[in-house]
Amino acid sequence: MIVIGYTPYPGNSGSTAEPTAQPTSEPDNDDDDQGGNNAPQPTSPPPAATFVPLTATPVPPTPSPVPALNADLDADYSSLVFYASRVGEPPQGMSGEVSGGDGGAYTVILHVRNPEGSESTYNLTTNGTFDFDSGDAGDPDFGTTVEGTWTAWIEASDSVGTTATSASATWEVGWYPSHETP
Amino acid sequence: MGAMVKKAESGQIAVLIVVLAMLFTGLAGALIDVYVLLEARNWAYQAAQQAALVGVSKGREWPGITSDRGCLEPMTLNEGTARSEAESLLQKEMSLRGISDYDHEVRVLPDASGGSVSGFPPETVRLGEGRGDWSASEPSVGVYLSFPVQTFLMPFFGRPQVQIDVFAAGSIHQPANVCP
Repeated sequence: MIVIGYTPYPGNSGSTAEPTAQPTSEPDNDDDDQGGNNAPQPTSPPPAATFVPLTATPVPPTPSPVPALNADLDADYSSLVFYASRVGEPPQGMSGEVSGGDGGAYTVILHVRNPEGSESTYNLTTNGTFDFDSGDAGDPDFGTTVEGTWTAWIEASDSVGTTATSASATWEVGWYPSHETP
Repeated sequence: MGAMVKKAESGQIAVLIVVLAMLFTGLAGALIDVYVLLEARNWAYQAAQQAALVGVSKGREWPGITSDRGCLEPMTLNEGTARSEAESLLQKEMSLRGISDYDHEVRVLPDASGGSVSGFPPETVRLGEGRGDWSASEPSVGVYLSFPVQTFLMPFFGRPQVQIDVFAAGSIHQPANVCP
């Protein structure tokens, strides 16, 4: 007869659980190291469950993140001829892209500063990308009326008022006068 | 006796008048010739200069300026356009002047840094640098023009015509902030 001892689970020292089953047959005496066909399986009580109190802390719902508002502006040409249209050359043109933010239609302010420091602004709306040319500016020599370095940039706003400013696009305007050679 | 002296004096005066008349005629002829030659040379120089300036102005290669290098492109010349424009204007000027017997030569240095042409202009010219190697540091057009001018006095010295030779050139100025 085998008496299965029971050691209380350390974390449950106060438990009063007792074995609930006793062997019901004798062990076989053969040497096959096998249990008898009808060898009773010792049953021991499983360790008592350990209950760990859990405290749930409510987490406030996180709104889905709004992508940052981005604004980009490029000039069609990096160098142009002074009063380009008068010699059959193209004036400047701009292309821009606004993305992110609250989406939808964006309000864009195009700033164009000539080499003398005089600045012109043009108000646009776009759903993402836009082109701005001499026709939009109402000037056939847009971006070519002063020699030197021109600068342009955009300020974009989304529907909730978030604003973003693009990097500056620059271009050079020059004239190549003819002269007598002594 | 007195009558004979008076007659001799009057003969001397007559000879003197004739000599003076010839002298003044010759002087006037020389002045006219100088004026004609100067006027012809100045006109020819201006015609050649206008032709050169039109050549460089209309021969400018604008499309190269708008390439995307981030700086101003150096100006170059379209050689064919520059030459034809210069020759066209020169022919028009000569036609207006009524000169059909003339020689001309138009040479173009189309590169941004100019260049040189040896043996041009082909004859020594009073204005310009004379015969030799024409060189320029900018895109340039050179115009050589030569035509004969009739004179009043020179035929007496065996030169019924005087050849006028002029040379003029025009160039394109490159901006300061041009690409290196």
